[in-house]
Amino acid sequence: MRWPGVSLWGLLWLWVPLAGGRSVRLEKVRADTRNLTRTLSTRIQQLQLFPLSLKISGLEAIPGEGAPEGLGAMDHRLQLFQRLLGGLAAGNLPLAQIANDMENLRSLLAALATHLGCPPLRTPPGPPAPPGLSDLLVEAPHTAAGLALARLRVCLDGIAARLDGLLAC
Amino acid sequence: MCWQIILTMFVLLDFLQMAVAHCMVHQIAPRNFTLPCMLLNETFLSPFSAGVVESWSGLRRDHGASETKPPLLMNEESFLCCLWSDSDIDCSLYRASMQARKFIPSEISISASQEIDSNWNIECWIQGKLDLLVCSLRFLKLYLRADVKVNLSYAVSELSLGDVSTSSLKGTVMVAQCDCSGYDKCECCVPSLRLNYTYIMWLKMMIGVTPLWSPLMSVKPIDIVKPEPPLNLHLEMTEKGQVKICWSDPMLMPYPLQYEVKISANSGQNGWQMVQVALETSLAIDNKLLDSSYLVQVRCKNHHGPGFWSDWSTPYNLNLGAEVLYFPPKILTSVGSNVSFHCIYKNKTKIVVSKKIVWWLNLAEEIPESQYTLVNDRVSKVTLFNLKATKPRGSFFYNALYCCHQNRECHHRYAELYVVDVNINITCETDGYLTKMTCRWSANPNTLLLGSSLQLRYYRSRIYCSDFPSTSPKSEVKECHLQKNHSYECTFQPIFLLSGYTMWIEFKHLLGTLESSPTCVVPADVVKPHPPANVKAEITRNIGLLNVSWTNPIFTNNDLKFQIRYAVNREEITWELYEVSNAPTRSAVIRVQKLCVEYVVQVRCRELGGSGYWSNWSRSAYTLVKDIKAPLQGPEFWRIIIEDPARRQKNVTLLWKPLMKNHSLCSVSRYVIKHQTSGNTTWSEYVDNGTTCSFPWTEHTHTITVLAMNSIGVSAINFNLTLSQQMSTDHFILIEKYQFSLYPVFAGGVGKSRATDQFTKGGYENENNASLYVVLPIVISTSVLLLGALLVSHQRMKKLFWEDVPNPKNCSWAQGVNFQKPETFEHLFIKHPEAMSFEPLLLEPEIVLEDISVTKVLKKEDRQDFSVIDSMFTKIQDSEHDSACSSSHFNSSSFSESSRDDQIGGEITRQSDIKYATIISNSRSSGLYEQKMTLRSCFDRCFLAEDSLVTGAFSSSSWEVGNGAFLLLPDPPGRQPNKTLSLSLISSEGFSEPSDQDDAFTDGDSPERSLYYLGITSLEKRENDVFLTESSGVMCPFHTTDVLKDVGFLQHTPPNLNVCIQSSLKYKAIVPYVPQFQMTAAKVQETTEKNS
Repeated sequence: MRWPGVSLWGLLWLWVPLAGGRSVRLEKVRADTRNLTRTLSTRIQQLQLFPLSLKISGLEAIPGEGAPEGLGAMDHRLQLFQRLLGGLAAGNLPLAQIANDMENLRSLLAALATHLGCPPLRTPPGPPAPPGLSDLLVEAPHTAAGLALARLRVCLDGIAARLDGLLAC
Repeated sequence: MCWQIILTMFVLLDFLQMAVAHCMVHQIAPRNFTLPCMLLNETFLSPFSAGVVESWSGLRRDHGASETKPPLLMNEESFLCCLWSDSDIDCSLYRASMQARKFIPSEISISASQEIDSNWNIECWIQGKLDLLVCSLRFLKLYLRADVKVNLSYAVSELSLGDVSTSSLKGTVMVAQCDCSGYDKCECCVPSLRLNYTYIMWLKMMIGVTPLWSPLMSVKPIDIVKPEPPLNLHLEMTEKGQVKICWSDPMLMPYPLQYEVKISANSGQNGWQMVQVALETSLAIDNKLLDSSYLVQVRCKNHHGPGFWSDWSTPYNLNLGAEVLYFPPKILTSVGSNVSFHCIYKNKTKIVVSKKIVWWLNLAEEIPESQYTLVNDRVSKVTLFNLKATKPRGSFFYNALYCCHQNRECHHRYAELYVVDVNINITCETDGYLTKMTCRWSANPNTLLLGSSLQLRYYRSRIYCSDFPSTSPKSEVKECHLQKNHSYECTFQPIFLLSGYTMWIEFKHLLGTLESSPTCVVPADVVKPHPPANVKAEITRNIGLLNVSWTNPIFTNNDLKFQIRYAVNREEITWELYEVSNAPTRSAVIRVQKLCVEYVVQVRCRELGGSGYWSNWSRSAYTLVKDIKAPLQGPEFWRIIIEDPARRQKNVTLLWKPLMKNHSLCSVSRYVIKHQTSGNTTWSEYVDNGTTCSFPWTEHTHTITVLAMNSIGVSAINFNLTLSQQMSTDHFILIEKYQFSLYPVFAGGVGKSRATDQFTKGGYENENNASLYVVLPIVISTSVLLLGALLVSHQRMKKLFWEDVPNPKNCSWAQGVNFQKPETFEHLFIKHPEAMSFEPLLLEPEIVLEDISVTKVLKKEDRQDFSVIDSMFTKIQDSEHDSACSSSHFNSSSFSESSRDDQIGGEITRQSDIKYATIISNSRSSGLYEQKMTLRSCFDRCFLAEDSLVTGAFSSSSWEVGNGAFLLLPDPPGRQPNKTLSLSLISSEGFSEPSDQDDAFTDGDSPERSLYYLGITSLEKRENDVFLTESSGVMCPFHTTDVLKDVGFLQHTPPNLNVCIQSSLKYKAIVPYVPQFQMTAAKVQETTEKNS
């Protein structure tokens, strides 16, 4: 008569290390995400393309700087930045490194979403490119890069701040 | 004739009009074919004119007709198209714009079937090297051969035959010479082929004066390739033990080949033959074919398109090629793997059954039978486990595996085993900017095979590594650069910080490809951060701690640990290490011993979790030496008082030792001298430079205090000196030791002192000899122990002595002596007339009688001994000091028999009842031997070996003589040997006193000190053991009584003897002495009486 109870307890005990491992894994992903956003922010700061205090007009194609709520929105925003930087990074090693970091960061957000039970973040082929982006990259790549990086940095700082709290899908 | 031609032309007008559009060209087939040639007459040929087609027909099929036809004029800008029909071949000249059309096979066959005198058999092919088109012409009518000249005209077009226009051939016609030196053929060669182009050719022949033209022929060279025959026929064995014949393609062909394998009996063409088709370069054959002598040949041709069969390859004899077959013949594998080889072994003509096959490695190591597997009755298999890397042996980079007969007969062929160590470790490091990852790996160049190459392959995971990294076909090759130390360096830049890079080393060789075990690296885990920046170090004021601060390097988070190393800054820096874990304040405080020195400090960091690497050490930071506290104390000082009698004034000069840094902490800016006199007057003086100060001493008492001052303050603890007029001069206490230190004072501070120890009174330096304090107690204690031992031994000696004293009734000298009272025989010792050495006479009658015989024949050296003995005995007799004992201990017969000296014999006869000694020679017949050389070094007195056992042992200088007994008689110091001998032997009292022991024996109340000590070793044969020394010839017989059960030796032995004994002779105990006289047994007495 006691066997079913024993088995149940055994299963529960078996679940403890598994659940613990999952928790550790989640915390590692969260910590890595936080560190990577800081690293990215530092990289952008190191580039110092131009002061952020300037107001530049005619750059509506560049994503906004505010950090969106939810992992999906974050990933969406980062994908826009990534596409923008991908057009700028050709032959530019620092920008190529930032683009790689963005790729990793999006993968980490996807892993976080998986750990949190959110739906998959990446839905190919991804959001459409903002209109006029390609023209902007041809006309004023320096301006586009400077503003995009500045906005990206603010966005990253916002993401890092949200990582410490409860993450929404 | 002309009419006929014209008529025919009109008849065929419709057909000719059709032919205007298409000029039919014979396509050269990859086989022999026959083309008619036409006799052309210039008269029929009008010059080209636009739109006009000149044709000529009437080439009748009847013999000889051609000879009558007029020749057709040709030039290079016009082309001949010939039309075939059942009865005619109509060749016309067409405009250059005509299109070509190939004959359909039926037309060819029709034309070929015609028998025309001018028909030539043509065969064209491309040689195996694909660079030469050869056309061979054979004359079907040999009479035409005479005086023939042939040219092959050809034009090349990129287009296919259907698209070729004759206009495209204008101006591009080339002519190839033909060689007609052969008997019945001509050979034309067209070089520099373009295999996929269309060649349009025609033949122009001149037979005598008759020109002949062939129809147009077209060919694509690639369609008529005749390959070279296959090469390198050999036998191989499959894993299942089946034999297959293998060959190689002749050269790199542009298309796949098909093969025909012909296996025939060796007896000749009439024998058995079998042809099989193969599409690969091997064909399995029946193993039974190996038993007979069969020949194998292979040929090849284009597998899919047209082409010629190659010639048959060189025959390969199956019987010769199958002596030994290995599968695989060569293996390339990695360290730790297991491999198997198969073998079929045919010893000459007979197949060796597999159970009789043994395997050898490198002809040196037979592989155990447990590793064999019998695949079938012919095939043996061996498996090698856990292979080690092949070590190059000379120029051989493989292990040779031999398949042998169990009678140890092997074939010279072997299988090759290449084992390569591909356990290559890859280490990666990410730079501090997190943009570059450098991976390094190294391979031992000695273990690599010739012709091999190494390359790093990798693939990247999106994030992190999998738990079990594995290779993937989607990998990429990473370029790596060879460094000086045989290592390779590969750089990834930019990097994906959190992606997993799975890497491995691929080893490529002709024999195969090996891979190292893959390793996965996440760049973020192998970061070597930049060293901490802005490192500062200082010694804190008042507290005196080393305070180190720094700034974390860029691109690091707060989870870092740090190591600080610091040292006193001098030439030879000795670092001390201090570790700080997770210091959010980015500083550390370290307690240090020396506060007033300059420290050099460096810091480094790494990830707190242990991943990654330590950064390099930061730049050095140096502490400044500055005052930390006020001086701990004032200086010690002295005064010198100089009295000026004239003025009646005393001047006092103060001297002080400059403060050391450990007291000044860290400097002294000035010294303050405070004065206080008896009048309660106080004042201060300041000395900025120097360590002296003088002042007049006027008051009765004058108290001085010297203080040290630095930037922090003045010393709190100071020394006072009160000068008083009643003060006496200082003096040093004589028995004390003082240390004087001399400090040189420089402008920059106080130098290193030099100290010396001095005593106020001479002679104390010896006290430094500390060993005296150690040795002295040991000497004293040893002396006490020796004294105690001496007393005990004397007591025991006394007891033994009185137990074995001779019977006074039988000894003249003992008469009147009360042996119960030692003091009564004091005269025995005192009244000895001469100061002679104490030589005990240890003579035992029993031993003498039984064991000692006297030799009659002496050797030369023995004579000398005897001469000594003679003189000795003479002296004995002359001295008349000896006293006879009535109980004879000595056998007179021994003397009478052995001695040549009548005088001695007479003496002994006169005193027949007293036997003092037996003279023993080294006569071997007596069974008593002397130890000569060996013993002489240790004993210069009495020592004789009794039997051969003892002698043998002695002769080998060994003192381990079993159970023999030794009697050792030491020579007293300072005594002449001859004299000693004589006195010892003939002393009437039996006791002699050495001169140097006279003092000890003057006390007659000490009877127990009258003897020398004798040591005796216990022998198995406990009685009748006699030892004599060679030099003395003295016999030292004794009887081992119960007292002498243990080994005994003389205690007072000379130093050299002691050394000898202690070093080479084991003994159990020491007996202080043995009795010198003993009663003779009754039996012996009887014998003695009979002899006398």
